[in-house]
Amino acid sequence: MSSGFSNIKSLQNVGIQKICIDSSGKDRENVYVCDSEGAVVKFSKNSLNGSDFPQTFELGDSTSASIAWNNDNLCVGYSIIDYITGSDKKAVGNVKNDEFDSEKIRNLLEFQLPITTIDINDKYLAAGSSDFSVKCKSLQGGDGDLKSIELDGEPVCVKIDPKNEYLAVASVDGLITIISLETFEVETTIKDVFHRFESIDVSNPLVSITWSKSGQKLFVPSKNCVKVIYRSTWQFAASKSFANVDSTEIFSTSAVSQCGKYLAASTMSNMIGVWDLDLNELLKTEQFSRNAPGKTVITSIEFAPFGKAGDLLIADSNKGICIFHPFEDKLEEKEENNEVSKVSDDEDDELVLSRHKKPIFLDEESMDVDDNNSRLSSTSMDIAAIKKNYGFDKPADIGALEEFGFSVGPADPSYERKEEEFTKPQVSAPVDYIPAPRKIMVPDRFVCNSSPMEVSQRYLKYNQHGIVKGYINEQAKTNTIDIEFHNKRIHGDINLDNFETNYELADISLKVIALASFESRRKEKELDKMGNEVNELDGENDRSEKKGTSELLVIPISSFDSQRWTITLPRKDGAIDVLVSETNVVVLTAKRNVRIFTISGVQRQIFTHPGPILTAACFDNRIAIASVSGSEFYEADNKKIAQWKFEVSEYRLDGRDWYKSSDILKDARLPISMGESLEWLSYSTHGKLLAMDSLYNLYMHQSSGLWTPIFDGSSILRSQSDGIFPIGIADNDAKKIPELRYIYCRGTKYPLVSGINAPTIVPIKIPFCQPESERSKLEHELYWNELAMAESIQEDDLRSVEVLDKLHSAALVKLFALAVKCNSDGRAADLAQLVGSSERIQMLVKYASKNKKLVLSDKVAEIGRQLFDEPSSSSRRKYEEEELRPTRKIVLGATKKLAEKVTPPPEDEEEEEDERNDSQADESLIFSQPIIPVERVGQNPFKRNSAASSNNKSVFDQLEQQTLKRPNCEEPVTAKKGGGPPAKKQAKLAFGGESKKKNEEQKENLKKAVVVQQEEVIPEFVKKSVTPYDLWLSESRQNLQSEYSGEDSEFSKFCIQQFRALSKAEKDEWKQKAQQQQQV
Amino acid sequence: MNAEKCEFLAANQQIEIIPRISEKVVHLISGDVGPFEAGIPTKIPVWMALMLKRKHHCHIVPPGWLAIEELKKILISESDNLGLSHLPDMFFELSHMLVKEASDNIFEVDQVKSLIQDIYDKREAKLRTSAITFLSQNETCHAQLDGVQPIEVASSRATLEACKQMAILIRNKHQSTPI
Repeated sequence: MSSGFSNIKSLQNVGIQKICIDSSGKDRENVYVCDSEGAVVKFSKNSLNGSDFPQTFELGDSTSASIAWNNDNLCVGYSIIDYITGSDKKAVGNVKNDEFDSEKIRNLLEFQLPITTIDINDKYLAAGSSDFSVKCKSLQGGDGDLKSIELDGEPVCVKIDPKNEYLAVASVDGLITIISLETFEVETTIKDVFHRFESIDVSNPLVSITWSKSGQKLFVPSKNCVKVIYRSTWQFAASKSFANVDSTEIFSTSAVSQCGKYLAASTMSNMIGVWDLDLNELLKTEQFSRNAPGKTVITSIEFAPFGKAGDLLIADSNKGICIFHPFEDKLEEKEENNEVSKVSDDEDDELVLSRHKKPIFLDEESMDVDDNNSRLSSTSMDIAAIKKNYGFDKPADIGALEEFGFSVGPADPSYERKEEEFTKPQVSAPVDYIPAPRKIMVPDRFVCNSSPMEVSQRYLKYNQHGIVKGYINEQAKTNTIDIEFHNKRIHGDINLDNFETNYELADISLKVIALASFESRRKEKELDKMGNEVNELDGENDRSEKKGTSELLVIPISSFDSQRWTITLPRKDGAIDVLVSETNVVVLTAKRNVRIFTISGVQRQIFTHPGPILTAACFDNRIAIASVSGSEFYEADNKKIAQWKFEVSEYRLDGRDWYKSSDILKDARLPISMGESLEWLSYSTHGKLLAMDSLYNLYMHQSSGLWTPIFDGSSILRSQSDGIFPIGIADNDAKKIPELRYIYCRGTKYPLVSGINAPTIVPIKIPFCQPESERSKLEHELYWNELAMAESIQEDDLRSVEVLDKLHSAALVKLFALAVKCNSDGRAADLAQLVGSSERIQMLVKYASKNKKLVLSDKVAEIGRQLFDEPSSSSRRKYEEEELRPTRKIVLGATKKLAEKVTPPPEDEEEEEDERNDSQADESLIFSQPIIPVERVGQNPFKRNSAASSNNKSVFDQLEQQTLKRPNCEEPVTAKKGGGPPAKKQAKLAFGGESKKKNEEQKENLKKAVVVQQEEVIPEFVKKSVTPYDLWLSESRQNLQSEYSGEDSEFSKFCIQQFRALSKAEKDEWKQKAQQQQQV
Repeated sequence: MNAEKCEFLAANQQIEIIPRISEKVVHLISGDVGPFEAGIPTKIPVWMALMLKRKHHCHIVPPGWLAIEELKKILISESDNLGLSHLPDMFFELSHMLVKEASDNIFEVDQVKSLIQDIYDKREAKLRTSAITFLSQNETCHAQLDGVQPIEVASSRATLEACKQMAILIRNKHQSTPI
């Protein structure tokens, strides 16, 4: 406990406590504290400071920490159950003369649900309830009129304007509603002042708003600051916020001193700040802390009506109330100075006293705007003199006083002498106002797959193997743990009494369950006491090592020896997290040690993690520990939010041969969205590391070192208050794509232990654009396949690589086909670049040719040549060398045969002729040139011949050979020697058939291909003499030319059209003529 | 048809369970159910879910409408509507079976029970008053009943039967001529 706090006085019950002082200021001796369990405690000055006992009153069946006091009217929100009728009544009762008997209480307001907040002044009583209604009653004129209004959110705090014009209401939906007291209609609603939350409890800020004494400002506790809402505009200005030293704090309570000069506020982490409203300056910050077990949050803060100026009353959720003296040291100094000044001058005495009464000078209420200038100037002079005494004599230090119409006037000559006397001893006074150094805490440590520690019923662990639930009932003094496997056939349910052991950490796997407890100071004290007594009895003086209080319990399941065992961890090195895998039990300790045990209890390793432990996960012999490194940093997009560099260290500790391994530790950065923090770290069932940030973006760590986004949880959240509680990722063998299992939590971040939480199962999905399109699906499949292949390659799992390679090719071919259909040749060419073998690229060439994408087929063939003929094409090819080698042999054999054996061309058919003409026509359209035989038209350069012998070349060698041979004029002669005139024909391709029939077909195809190849290099005049079209063209050219009047380049097209227009009989005639000519 | 038969029919409805065992597909006359993977929700008929529940082989996931918030909404709509509001199929039968046999799987089961009772009472009161109104007027001889649950039909069958008999008696009385 810091020196600024008095001794803690105990209250009746835990939970929200509300301190109440007389707002009229008449009673300056007593305060009331109301809790949520039906008790109202009256403290006097002596009972808080001294040893007097406070008075405790019981009111109704329960209260709801709502109380307000003005003069004789003490109003308390309470509920009372009528057991005869079975009805319960929630009302604001008016207690007079401390008569808390429910029969003597006069109910002023009634509600349907418990009252959450009350405020009262001399004119009005206002209260809000959980039924979302706010009611107000005028206290003047008998019963007065009752006004009511329904809000959209549960009111958490109501405050009546000191001018009795407005009622300010803060509600859980993050709104400040200003209600006119006269009409009781909403004047304005101010949004985004503080963050919304779900319910009014100790885990959420209580947002106790406060009006300034003048009513010109409304102070609202918010995130990072206490915001100031100006009455004139009903807008808050960030620049006028009172930022605390720690910018990540969430402010919960606030109070303005009765003099109106000071503002005090507390945060959810119990940091208390006191500001000077006039100077707009932070005067004091102090951390409130208690050693009592349980959660301690300041739930109420008020300026004490008694004692020294600025003293604060602080009540916390852990049954504690105390006084905080923020200016203790300074006042002592002042008192000392006072003594000195008393001796010197009587007038100085007045000034020193006036310093204590400084708030009275700055009292805004006393400073009426209509006051005459003389009074203002004298006040200003007073301020100037006081400020000089505090060292704020520079003009720039006037702070926010201009807002109040003040200016630094000429110093009163009468004060000048006094200043001389006072400035010297008070040189050190401003030191008190230097704000504490700015510090930002690293994100809190947490246990994955568990609920927060604060709740009484929580999941100690909920993972893919089972559930460990903890139930704490403080009233009944029971603490139990239920352990259940999802599959009860592994092991039946286990119930443990946890009252003595107090295990708060757990993990469960199919082989073992581990439970661990934190260190307990209370137990340590007891142990020390017992140890001392034993030593005294034994008469020993030597001090043995003190026993720790953190205990580990391990329950082996279906192992060789299923004996439970426990071990006590050393003192000051208690457990902070426990993890289990199929083989190990891992305990992370307070000294950042990682202790590894076998399931049966052998201590195997201990090492220290070099950094703060944020969370951890375990799989098999791998331990991943997440931590933050470096200091916080800020980005331009969000300058106010501190970001951290999250890292994960993965230790691979093979229980048997770990000392032989050189790469035990691997570090990786964690992908966390801007301004977010790590929410979950785990392994999939196949051992892939997973991380999720607080925006529910889930990432999977690939073996290649990449983090792949696999799930965007924020897109499925139906409400901002909803949460996703991930359970794990399991591989679905049927669908090949892993599935994420999570619990969707409505209105909370964690699943409730009561009731049944049905997990939701979704296949993980990489967020490709346009996910519903077929193309994106195939692209997703392709990428996922590559990721899986990368892992299999690293693991040297050749069998799965083979399977995945086939799937990869299938996806690639489908994508290629889609691109071809969509006439997206560029995309198709890109996809061809990804093909892993020549056979597959051959397929693509064939497909492109079939779809008459000649340019594409050329391009793909070129890509094939680049990829598979150049020795340094890619590393991938190296991997597939073995796969390619047999293919190459076959093709080489086939090429050799091609050179030797030349087959006669098959008979021309009319359809083939037409087809050829069509292709010619198409080409002529493309190139706008007269018909010329185009290279590789109708041929497949990648055609594979299964009849090939062992010494063959690859298809690309074939292509190269053709390209080289083409200018050779001897080749046509060879072709001509082989028999009749070659016919131009598209070669039909076949792949990899093993049957005899297929071989024969392939031989046929090979022959055709040879013909095609020969045909390509045959001189034009040879070919022209044999085709019926050419014959017809040569004979009817003159007629055609006379008929044709267009451009020369279009003439060939015209000719083809004319030839097509001929009747079948005429075509037959020309065909016969051509055959005859050939025979001749 | 009585309440038991209504429950028998309702037991054929599908309900989600979280199995605590792993099993292959079970082939039933009505169709295949499963496969079951421990901890992974699946849908099976209610009768089977109850059977597995009795053996502690599963947790039953209560339907969404069996939550307190939803029941409160139903109760409010029942209060607001003059007629009977539309409820999920076999509402009373299913809720009765689940509250009876899977109470540990229902969150705040006591409150759920009382809310269902309230809904039932409200509807029963509506049915009763509408029946009285119908019988007391002479102009029309037919009425339309929407959104009636099977169990309500079964429970009001006796009254309707009695009304029918009374109508026959009255008709006979009018038709008969005094001697």
